[in-house]
Amino acid sequence: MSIQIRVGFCQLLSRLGLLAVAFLTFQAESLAQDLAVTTDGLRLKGTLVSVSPDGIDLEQENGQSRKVSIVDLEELFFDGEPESLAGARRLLHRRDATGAAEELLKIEEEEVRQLDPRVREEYEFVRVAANAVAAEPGAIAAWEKQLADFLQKNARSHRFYYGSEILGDVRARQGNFTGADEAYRNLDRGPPALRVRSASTRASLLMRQGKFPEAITEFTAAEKIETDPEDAASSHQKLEATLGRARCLGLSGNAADGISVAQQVIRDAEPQDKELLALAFNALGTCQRGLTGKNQDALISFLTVDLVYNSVPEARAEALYNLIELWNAANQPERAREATQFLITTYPHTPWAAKVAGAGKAS
Amino acid sequence: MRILACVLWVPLFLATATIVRAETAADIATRNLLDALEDKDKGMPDVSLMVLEQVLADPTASPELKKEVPFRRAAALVAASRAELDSKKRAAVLDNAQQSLDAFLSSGGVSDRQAISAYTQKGNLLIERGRSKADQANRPGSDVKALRAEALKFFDEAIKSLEGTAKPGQEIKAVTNAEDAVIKVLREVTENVKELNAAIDQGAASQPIGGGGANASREAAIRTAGTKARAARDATAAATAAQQAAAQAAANVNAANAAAKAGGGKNKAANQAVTLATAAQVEANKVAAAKVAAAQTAAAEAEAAKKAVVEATAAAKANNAANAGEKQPEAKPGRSKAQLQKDLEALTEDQEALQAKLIQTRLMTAAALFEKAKAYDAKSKEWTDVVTKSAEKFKEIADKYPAKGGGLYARYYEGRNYALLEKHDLAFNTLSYLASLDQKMPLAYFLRSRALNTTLECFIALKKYDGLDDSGRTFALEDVARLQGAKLDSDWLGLKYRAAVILDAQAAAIDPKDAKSKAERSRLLTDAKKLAVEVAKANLDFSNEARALAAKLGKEVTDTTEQTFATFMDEANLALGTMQGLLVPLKSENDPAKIAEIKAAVAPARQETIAKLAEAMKFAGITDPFAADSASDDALKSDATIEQINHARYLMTYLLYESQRFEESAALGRLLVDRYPRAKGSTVAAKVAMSALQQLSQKSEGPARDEARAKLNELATNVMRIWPDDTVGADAASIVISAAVAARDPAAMVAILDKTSPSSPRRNEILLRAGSALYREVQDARRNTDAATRPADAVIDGWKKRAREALDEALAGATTLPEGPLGTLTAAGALSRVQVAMDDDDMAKALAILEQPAYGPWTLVTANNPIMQQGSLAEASLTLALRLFIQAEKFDQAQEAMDALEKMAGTGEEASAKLTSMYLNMGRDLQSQLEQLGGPSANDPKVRAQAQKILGGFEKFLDRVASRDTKISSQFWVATTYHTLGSGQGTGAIVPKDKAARYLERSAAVYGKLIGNVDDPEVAKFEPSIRLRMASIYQELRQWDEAQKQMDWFLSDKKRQNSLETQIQAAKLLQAAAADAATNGDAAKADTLYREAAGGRKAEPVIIWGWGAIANKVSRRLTGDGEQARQARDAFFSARVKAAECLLARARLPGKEKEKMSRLGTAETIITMTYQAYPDLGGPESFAAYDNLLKQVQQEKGGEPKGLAGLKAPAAPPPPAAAKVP
Repeated sequence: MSIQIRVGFCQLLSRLGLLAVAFLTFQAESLAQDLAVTTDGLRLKGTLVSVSPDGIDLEQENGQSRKVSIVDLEELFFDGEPESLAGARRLLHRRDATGAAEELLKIEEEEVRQLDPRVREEYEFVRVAANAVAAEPGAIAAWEKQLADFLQKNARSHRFYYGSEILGDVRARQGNFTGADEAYRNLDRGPPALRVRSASTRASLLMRQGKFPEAITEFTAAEKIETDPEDAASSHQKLEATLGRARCLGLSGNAADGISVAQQVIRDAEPQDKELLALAFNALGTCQRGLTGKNQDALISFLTVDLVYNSVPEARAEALYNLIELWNAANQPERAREATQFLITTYPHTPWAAKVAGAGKAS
Repeated sequence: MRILACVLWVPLFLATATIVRAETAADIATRNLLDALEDKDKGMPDVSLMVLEQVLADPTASPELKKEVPFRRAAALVAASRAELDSKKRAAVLDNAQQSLDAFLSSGGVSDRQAISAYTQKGNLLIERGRSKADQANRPGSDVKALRAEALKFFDEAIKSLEGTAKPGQEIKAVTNAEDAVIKVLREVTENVKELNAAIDQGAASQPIGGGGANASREAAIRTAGTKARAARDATAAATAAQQAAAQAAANVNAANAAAKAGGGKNKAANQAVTLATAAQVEANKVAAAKVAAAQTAAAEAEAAKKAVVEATAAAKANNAANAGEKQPEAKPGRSKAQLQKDLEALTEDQEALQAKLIQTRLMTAAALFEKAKAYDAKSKEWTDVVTKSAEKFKEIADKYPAKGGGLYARYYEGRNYALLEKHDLAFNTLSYLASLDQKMPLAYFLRSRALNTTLECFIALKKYDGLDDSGRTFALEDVARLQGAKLDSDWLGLKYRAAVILDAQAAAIDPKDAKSKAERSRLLTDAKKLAVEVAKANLDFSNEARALAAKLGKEVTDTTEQTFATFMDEANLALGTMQGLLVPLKSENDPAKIAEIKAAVAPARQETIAKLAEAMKFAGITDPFAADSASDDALKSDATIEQINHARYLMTYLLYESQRFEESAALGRLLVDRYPRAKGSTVAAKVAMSALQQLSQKSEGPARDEARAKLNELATNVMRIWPDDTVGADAASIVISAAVAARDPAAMVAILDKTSPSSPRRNEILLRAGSALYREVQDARRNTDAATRPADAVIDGWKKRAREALDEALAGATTLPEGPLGTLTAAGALSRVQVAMDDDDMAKALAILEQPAYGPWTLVTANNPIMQQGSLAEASLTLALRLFIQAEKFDQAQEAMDALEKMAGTGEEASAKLTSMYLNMGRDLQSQLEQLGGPSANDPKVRAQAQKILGGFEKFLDRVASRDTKISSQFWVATTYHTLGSGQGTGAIVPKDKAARYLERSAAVYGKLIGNVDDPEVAKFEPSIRLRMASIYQELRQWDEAQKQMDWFLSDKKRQNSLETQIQAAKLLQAAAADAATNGDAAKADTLYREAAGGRKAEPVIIWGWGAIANKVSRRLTGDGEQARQARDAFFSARVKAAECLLARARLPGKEKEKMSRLGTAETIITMTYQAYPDLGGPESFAAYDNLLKQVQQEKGGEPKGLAGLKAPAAPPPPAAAKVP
């Protein structure tokens, strides 16, 4: 159930902007060219003059200043950052946290010491966040503390909301739902899209605990938060909340209603919004599995994620996990094995792969 | 055929997105999913079919998407057919696919683009079907003429579907084939490209996209693109000219050769002309190759330049946007210009794709012609004509597109066709350019290997050994594994082997003594050996010839052959081929001795094949090839793949079965079913494994048999679930239903009915068998009076409902009786359905089915249908018909049924007994029907009315028969049936007492009348049983003296006195008469009768044992598990308690006070001693009877009625046989 949070977060990442900046302001002459990539594909080169949790300010080549909201920021590259840092950041965003942590190890300690302070801070954030996400049970508490400390020390970083959500996820994984709720509430301070996201993540927490009626109430509240109709990021977050509600309906014995909600989201979605559609088909498949005689429909829904909307790693991992069970139920053990193999080798660090591995050991 | 393979099943409608604009994300997702599922690597045609079904059922799916369904369905069906081994089933699937395509094409509103794909697919499909028929025609024993005629039809249809009919420049109005469809769309696109180019040229001059360096770069890119495009056009023209020159040079060589030949090889000038022409040809080929390469490079550069324009445009746009600090609005003039450029890019790509498609389509037409030749005898006139026509087509394409890949392909096939036509000169001249291609790219390797292979074939045929030059020799010696995109296939092997042959011949032409040429000769032989060994090592095509050549060349080939899984499998396949070859004569052999001889000869070959397969599997790392163990499957060694291992397993399953190694066969088959159901051959393996388990269950006994049956049931259940719609699934369902019927497991029958797919090929059979068996279980369950084991009424009703549904579905729409066993099943099912209808009191339905023209049991039995000539079906049909006609008051037909029954019984000693048995069976059924009505609903007016109707019908009919039909059998039947109707057991609630008495009296009267004719030997034969029945009837009528009279008559014969059953009946009669006398106040008579009932009566010659003697007589037969022991135990415990009952009754009689305590004491002793000897007293019911009786005795004695509980616990029981009975 937390997967939806994670998947959603991955999507949000691309809207929140990725890089931590240590300083609130910079002297323009002291910086070389940075690059901000926006969600609608613009590549803005220039010099970062300020950052805050809510966005960045870039002075462009022509001398004009350009503000980019945190929800419109796809990616932010610092001038002079090591390639491995960019690589690790991308891996973290794809939820391959172990891969991200390993990628960072390619940067020598000496090199880290010589990094520009703002890059060093980005390095520190990616390192702590990746290790917290990838941590085994014995080490997770220590990494959680490091992440919490980082956020406390860097409360004005544009990484603040992203980090808070990761912190919430890490706490939820340990069963600390109160702490997770507290971390997610940090997002309430952000722009409207993040407020919706905050409510959504907290609703997902309830769903994770099996408190479906309460979760439905929270998801509904997220959908009703007042936002500008033109605010695409907020609309997107609301649709994710709608899908969360659909899942809850599916998991609480109201699968038919859940199916209807998920289908409506799919019908209304922009065809190119692959991330949302991946979530929607997974939600649809989950609800279909809740109904007797709908396994075939569920199989088609999850296959749609696996074969069509497969650019969101965690969504695809979830779909593969379901496909394994559905193929087995459909007497297709070879396909089930193929899916298992693919899940374990391609998405080894997802909870879905862990579940499959766990089931394999148990049997 | 590679041409076909590379264009086979174009997965998408071309540029669908440009056609469909208003689709939802759901539609697009579905379309993309279908595309992905159609991808040949994913290969999930079964899922495609599922998705398409979903699309059809989805009301929100767009009409455009729905419209694609038949087309996509056809593609999925064709893909699915590839996994089908059964040629008939495969043909059926392809048929279905073709229908789907035709439906799509005739549905109206098919766009031209959709028509391209649809007609192409149709063409492919038809070629595939034609090829399949042509292959079948080549199999031994096939109907060659008919199959070839079918193949030709398919090929002609394929060509019709592919080949264009429009002439150049002619307007294409209606599209009826793939080529015209492509041309039509291509013309439109070309027109659009022209328009866009004009617009861009105009715009480029007047409206720069933006300022700065980016724009300058863009303008430079546009200029470069223009230059490159012109260069590409020029290069293509030059390549065409060079190829034409090369062709002319080849023709010159031919002409020179002909002239030299005409001169007998002695004309120096002519010979010199050949040399010169050959040199010119080599040069021309080189030039042509260089020009084609240059044309291809220029085309690639032009393409890159075009892309550079797009990128430069985008960069300029981004730069402008970045400089402006915001996105460019959509409608700005600069943006519009960029959009034009983007559109042009897309359109140009489309145009190129269509051009490629056009070439592909034409290639396919030529290829279809070539395939068509396979439907004729090789070298026949028809064959020659078709291959020639195919060559012409290929030539046309090759001449038209000399610099395109498709053109080069066409040239190769043109030459290949000439070679087949034995126009060797023309073939190698045509191929000379391709055979000397020395570009380092996959396409060049591919074409050169094939062209050179064919060329060498021609050289060998012409003995033109000097034709292989150094370049060709080097190419032949290439390590194929190192060439990008190449693999050592049959063409490469042919090339290498033929090159070896030619090099050997070249070496042979050199005098070994000539020192000058020694090195060259050695080099030639070394290369020849190298090539021969390489081919031999591959162990595929030409391996035998290559081994021989290598051996001749002095090399031990086998020593150097590297062993791989493939080499092992080749050996296994060789052994399999040998075995199959030995089996061929079996098909046409009828002589048993010869058949045995053939089978004996096959056995060693089969064993060898099994051994080779096992060896191969072991080599691949399979620990035990005969075991159902897949542990080593994930770590295969050598070059083995799991598909190959499973293929070996499939073969092994069959071979082991044939060798009667059933356990191993079943184990391997089960492994394939459980773990690799999608593997090719798994369905066949499933069938074999089921047969193997059936064999095991038939050939074994005890636990081994039970285990085989359990495994069979488990496997069949799995198979049924995995392949519900396949014949193997249907076979499995049949096995499972047989097991459920044999196990008397109605719940399993219902489950099987639920699981049987609606489209299972044997669904009707399953429905009939399950429906009939289920209703039998309903009848049995209703007869069960044991509350502990009798299923709940709701459950029984549920089974009946399911039985009714199954039978109705199976019988629905049957207009003829199926042939074979299904016919018998259908008739039996109909009979069951009549019973169900009678049970439902639905006489109209029952009669309708009984007399249904196709399968009605009455119809069949009266028409003397053969299926009614054997078994008990006819008898059951007639007895049921008789009952039904009587109930429906159709007395004439009832009489007809009676007559038919008598006729069926026949004549002779056994006939009467048989007829009696039939009537008794019918009587029992009737009684059962009445008993059922007499159940809890007996007071329901509807039920009572139904019962009265049944009784009324019978009364009328029986009276009629009794008065009209004097035959003994008829009279007997009347008496028996009246007895049945009047017997109070079970029917008392539904047959009024007075009516029952009347029936009994009638029965007794008829029996009495029969006995009156005792002089008739037929009657005399039945007198004892009639008397016994009469005794029973009089007892029920409480006419004790009459009853006793009949009983005494019966027991007057010493032979009959030893019948335990009759003695029990006699004791019962005495006890019942005693009770009646006591009730009527005749204590003395009662005392006597009770005494006789308990102690017996001797009035010579009549001897009645009484309860005590009955118990004593059976007491020595109490042990054991058999039916006899069970009956003895029942009789023993019943007789003992009844003896005590008689004593208690006597103690209670008035005037017997003196003897009272003594009789009570004896009664108590009987009970307690029996209890001490047999503490369970024969079971719970009997125990309760003893307990109750003891309590009455104790009470009568004035004591506390403690019953058995008050007695001392019995000691461990001694063996029953040793028990002493007072």
